[in-house]
Amino acid sequence: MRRIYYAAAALLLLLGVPAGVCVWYIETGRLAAEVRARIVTELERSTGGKAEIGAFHFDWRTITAEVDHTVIHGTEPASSIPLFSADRIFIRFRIASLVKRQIDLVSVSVESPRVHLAVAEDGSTNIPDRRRSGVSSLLDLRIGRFDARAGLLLADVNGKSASQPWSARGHDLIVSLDYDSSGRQYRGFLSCAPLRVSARGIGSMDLDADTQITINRDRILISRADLKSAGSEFRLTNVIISNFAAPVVTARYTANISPGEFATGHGSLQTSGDLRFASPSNYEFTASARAEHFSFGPFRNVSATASLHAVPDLIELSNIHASSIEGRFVGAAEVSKLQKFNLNGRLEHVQARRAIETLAHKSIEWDAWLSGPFRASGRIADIRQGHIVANGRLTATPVDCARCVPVNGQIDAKFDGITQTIEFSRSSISLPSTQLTFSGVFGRNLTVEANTRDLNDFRPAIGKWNQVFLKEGSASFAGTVAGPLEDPSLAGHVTVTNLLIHDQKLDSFSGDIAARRSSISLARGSVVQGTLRARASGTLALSDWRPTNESAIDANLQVSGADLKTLFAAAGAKDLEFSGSGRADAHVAGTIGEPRLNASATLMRGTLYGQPYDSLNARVQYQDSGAQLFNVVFASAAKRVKMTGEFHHTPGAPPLAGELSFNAQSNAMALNQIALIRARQPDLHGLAQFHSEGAARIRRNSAGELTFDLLRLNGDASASRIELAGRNLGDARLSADTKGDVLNVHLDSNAAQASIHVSGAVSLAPGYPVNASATFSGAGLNALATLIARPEQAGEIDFDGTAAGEVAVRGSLEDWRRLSGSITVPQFEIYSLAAPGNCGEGSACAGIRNFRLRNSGPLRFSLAGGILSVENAHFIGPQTDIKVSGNMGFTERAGYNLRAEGDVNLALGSTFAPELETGGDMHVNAALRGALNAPDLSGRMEIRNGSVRYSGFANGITSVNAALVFNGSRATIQNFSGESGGGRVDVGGFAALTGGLIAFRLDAKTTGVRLRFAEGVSVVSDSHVTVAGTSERSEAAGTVLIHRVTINPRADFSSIFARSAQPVKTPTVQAGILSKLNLDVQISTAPDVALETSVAQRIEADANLRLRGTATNPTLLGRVNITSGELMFFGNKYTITTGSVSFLNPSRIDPVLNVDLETRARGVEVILTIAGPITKPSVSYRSDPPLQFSDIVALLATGRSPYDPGLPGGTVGQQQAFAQLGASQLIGEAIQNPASGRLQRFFGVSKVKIDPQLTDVTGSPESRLTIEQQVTPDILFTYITDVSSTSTQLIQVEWAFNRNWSAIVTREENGYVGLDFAYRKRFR
Amino acid sequence: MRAGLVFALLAIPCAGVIVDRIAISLGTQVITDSEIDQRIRLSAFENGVTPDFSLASRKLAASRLIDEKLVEHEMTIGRYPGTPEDKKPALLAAYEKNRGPAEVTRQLAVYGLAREDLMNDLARQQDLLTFLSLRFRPAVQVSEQDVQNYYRQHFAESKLQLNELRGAIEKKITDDRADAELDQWLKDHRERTRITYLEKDLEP
Repeated sequence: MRRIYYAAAALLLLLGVPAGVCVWYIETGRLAAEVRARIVTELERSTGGKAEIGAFHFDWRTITAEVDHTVIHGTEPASSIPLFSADRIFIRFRIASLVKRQIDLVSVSVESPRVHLAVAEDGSTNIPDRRRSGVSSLLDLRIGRFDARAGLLLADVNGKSASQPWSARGHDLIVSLDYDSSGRQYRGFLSCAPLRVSARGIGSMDLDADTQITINRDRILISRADLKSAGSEFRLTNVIISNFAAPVVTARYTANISPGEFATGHGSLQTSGDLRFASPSNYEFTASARAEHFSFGPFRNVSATASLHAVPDLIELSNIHASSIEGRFVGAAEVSKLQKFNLNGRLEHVQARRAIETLAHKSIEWDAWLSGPFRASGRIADIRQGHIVANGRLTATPVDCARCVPVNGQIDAKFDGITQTIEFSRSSISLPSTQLTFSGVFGRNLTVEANTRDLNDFRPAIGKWNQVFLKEGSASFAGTVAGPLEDPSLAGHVTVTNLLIHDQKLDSFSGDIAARRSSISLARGSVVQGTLRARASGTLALSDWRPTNESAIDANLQVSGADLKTLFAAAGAKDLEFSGSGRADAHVAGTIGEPRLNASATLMRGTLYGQPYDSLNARVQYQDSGAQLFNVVFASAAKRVKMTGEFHHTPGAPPLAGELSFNAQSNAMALNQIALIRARQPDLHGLAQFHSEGAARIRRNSAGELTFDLLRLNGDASASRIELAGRNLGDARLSADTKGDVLNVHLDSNAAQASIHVSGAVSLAPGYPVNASATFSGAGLNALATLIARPEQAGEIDFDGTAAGEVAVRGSLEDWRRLSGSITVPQFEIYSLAAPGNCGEGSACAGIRNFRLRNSGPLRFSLAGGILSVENAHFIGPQTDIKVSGNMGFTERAGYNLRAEGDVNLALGSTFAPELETGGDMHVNAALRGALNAPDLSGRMEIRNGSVRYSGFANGITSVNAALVFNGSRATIQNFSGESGGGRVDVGGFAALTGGLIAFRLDAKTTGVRLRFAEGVSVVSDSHVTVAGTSERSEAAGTVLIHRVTINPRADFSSIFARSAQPVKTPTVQAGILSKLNLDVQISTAPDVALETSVAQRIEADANLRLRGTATNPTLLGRVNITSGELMFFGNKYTITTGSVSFLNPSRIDPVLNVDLETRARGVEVILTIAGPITKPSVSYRSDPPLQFSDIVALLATGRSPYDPGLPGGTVGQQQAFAQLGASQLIGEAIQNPASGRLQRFFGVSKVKIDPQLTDVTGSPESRLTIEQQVTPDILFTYITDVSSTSTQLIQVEWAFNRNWSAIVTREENGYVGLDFAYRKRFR
Repeated sequence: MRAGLVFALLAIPCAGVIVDRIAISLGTQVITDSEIDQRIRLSAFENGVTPDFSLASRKLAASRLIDEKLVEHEMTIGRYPGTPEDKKPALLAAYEKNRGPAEVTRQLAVYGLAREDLMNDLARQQDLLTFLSLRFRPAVQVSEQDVQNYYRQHFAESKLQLNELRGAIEKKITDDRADAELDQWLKDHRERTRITYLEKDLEP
């Protein structure tokens, strides 16, 4: 234990004593002095000079030292600036190794280091000469971080001084300097990364320095110096600074420069070469340079190579190959004295559009490849201002692009930026449709000739004028462009043909124009368009090439041969119905915003809103702020209208707003020669004349529409001998007189055969309050209706009457809804004109003819608030007594509220529907309510003992008793019954207005109604038919059961059937509901149907037919089967063995016959078969025993038996035999007898037959050709000729004065006339 | 004789194939077996059920086809407007809207049908509705009394007021009466038309 204490004490003593000694050593400053002395020694040893230091401070705690005023003297005189000095050096140490006594310098800060290098004329320096032998290390520093601020490098070379402030900061500084006494040179190494050096002239650079340097007595050799910055690298090799008396620096260098570090730019620049620098006036650089993706000024992505040679006052660049997206340049350049430059080379494949976009930042649509020699020269300092001279002879070739205008040409130009001119030698440019040649100095005087066939070539420049085209035309300009570039002026002659402006074509335009930024003028302008010839000249001021409202204008225009329609259409007034041609002169002055116009026009032979005129003279003076006068004389045939007036435009108001005063008058003008009147009422005749004077204020409302406020009106207008559609409407005279604010109006007329007087007072105030009254007497209602109705309706007005009364109106003319008044008609009578004059007494039409409806008591109406109220309207007439009450509004809200109650003579129906013949009594109690566009009718209508017949129909309905109920838009038939054709008719159903259509359903039942068809055919049937649908489409469906068919004895079966094959002519069916009525009616015969006809007996038939198609085009389908019966065919009785008439064609009635007729004559049985369509039936025959056709004919026609030997020449020629078959037209048509056809055409003869019973008075039977014509139902005319002899003719007239007796007058071919009486009696 | 025997012998292996058969004739129109078959398939497809080719189903299909033919004939004669050819694809497209053309085609194939079959059937249905609306519906009159009666009969206990249901009731009555008119019309026409059942099983 004690040993431990002793050891510890010994250790403490061992350590404490030295420690204490150290503390004492340090605290007493002995260490500092020691170190200071050591520093001085080392400095002197390493530099060879004399070192001095000022204060020295050492802080052992922070291991830092501070040295003030460090000076190292070289070999310079003592009074001179020392080799090195520094105001303060601050060092921080780090003990690297106590054992090796190694200390690292963590950081060194030097304030104001100054290095003074003096070079004498003999090349010696103030660097001390080392005397030691061998290589000795003078400096070997490794400083982690150093900082030298406010340094100064002084150099005295041959008596000339220079100084360079500098400072440096860096990390990891390694500096070593050795002295080689054998070579008497210093060798050093400097490395520092990073190193920031700041110096005057270069600013701050961040470098990585890596240099080897050798300093001899008169030479400095830097074997390698690598300097790196953020984006650049410099390597200097073999840098030799020799001959300090006249230092010359030579070196080889390579550099990769990032331009952005030093200036604005991008890309990279590699250069390598040699340099020799002796003085600013004696140096030489050679280098080869390559730039990639280089940006220079406006040019981007430039790649270039060049060779550089620089000497004082001259920099030469040769073998320049530069290319960018704009194009390529090959050539050379030189810069002299860093002031002037000269560029000489060739542009290749430069895209003009890109180049202009790059240089001028403008986008154009013309493009070309430019190539050719190019030179530029000037001062470098003037480049930015563009004060350079450049010239080139470039060839332009088209660029293949979709959206550009290709350019072709040759441009020889010289640009002088100083004078701001471009001088063109004879240059030309071709666009697709344009040739442009120019020469001269653009900016002074450039001569231009341009010809184009398509303005689209200039579309990029005149884009907004996109409504201007050449339509197979051309435009040319020959002139000059003078003046500076920023304010050129054009002058020349323009010629344009076939120019299209806003779809208006100009045949040609030419003129001399002069245009500049401030004005444009036209001289000797000429426009041709069709027959129009115009001359124009004038001047318009511009502001920066554009007209403004303040632009002054002075122009003259003479127009002749103008077609006004075309002219106004060109001016945009296509709707103005004004045509004619003539001449006009105009002079415009003032400004665009306030023009003054003087114009006169004489127009000939045109139309104004359809009114032809012979001449129209007009003079107009327009002054924006002054009065505008006009004087117009309109002449058309004998008509003259003169109008003068004055218009004062309200200052500041829109155009055409102001006050107008006028005086207009005419001579007597024929009304039917006034086109406007003729268009409205072509049948209006008479004379009219007017004279007026007045004033009005014209304004524009908020919508920009013109409104007129009448201020004054005096005058009169008269029309005399007014006729409308042949009806004399008398005369009328209107006068107006303004006193103060009141316009008094009087109208007298005897139109409509009435005496009409209207007088009123209209206040010329807002709203035009009016107080007027009118009286009329003896007014013809037909004439009045004709006046009101449209021309096409006028002819259908078939009522007339008279009325007398008075009307009083008060209110506002502008708002009719606020009008109030009253109408009193003490006398009113109306009657129909529809009844024909030959109506027999007691007939329905007689009732129409005698019907007159008149008032019972004065008719009184009042008007207030847009509602017309009926105070009293009581009408009476034969079997008619009806009262109307209620009111009717003329606004959407008011609507109808009318009631009518009373009895009406149904004969009135014919007045409204002339195709109907109506009669009977009707009681009505109805109300009409609802909106004007959707009235609601309610009420009840009853018909008693009525009758109705549709013209063209054989049947009408009589004894009609019906009741209809109206409810809103529906009318329901409560009951309807009547009689027709001896039968009964009952109808029920309804009709309703739905969605603009009439929907209806009518159920009709008839019982025992006889219908008459065709000639002599009548049918008695029962039916049940329903007609339902809408006014657009309806169906008539049901059943008809035929009980009896009666055929008139005089009817001919063949005619009936032949007529039935023709299209059915329905009785006057008009377009309307009936035309859209589809039919689906089943027609069948009752089991016991009877067929009554004298030509047939015991006919048994049944029909199963379907009536289809439409009412206007019905068709029949089905079949009529004839099971048995007998027919009489000219004295022969034929038995129907089988028979049918089929209707198979669904598109028309096309009966197909199939009838077998059998008869027996003189023991021979003959069967006739008629088959085929009714229009072309075929007749075939057979007999038993079999006979020749001629024999059958003879047998049937004459009763001659083929076996009878007594008759000579028994047979008749075949052609004759056909005609002798019988009286049937059917057969006649079947054999197509040509004689019958001709007779039919000329004489209307309808029958040809052979009459073997008729003989002449001699009684000998012969074969004769007979032509019959039924002249009247009682008289039959017959012409008979012997077919074998033309001279044998017989004329016979038979008069059947009753059913049994007839008288026959015969004139024979020999002239004898005989009278026979015939008695007929039938035995059943 | 010998030649005839040879032909007879040759005919034995060459048995004919019946492609189709007329099942019913009505007037100048016919209904074939294939049409009945297709009618069954179409109805089953549109109802989403399995086709039933039993006799009862065939009778029903035949009856429907008779009605269809009568209406077609009437539309032809009466010039009623049918569905234009260029409008038919739109019908089909509307039908396929939810399922898509591919899915519908696939399902049709399951039923042995083609898209044209479905398209034509849709057109026929539209034509029938057109015929109904043009021929019978306008003739139907619905009075206020009818509406009130219907309301009392069906909606007496309902909270809905008459005015709220008026439109629907009028439409329902109109449709019902138009249908009744159509049924009567079909009945009349069946009686008038000569219908011959060549396939006796189909006779009602």
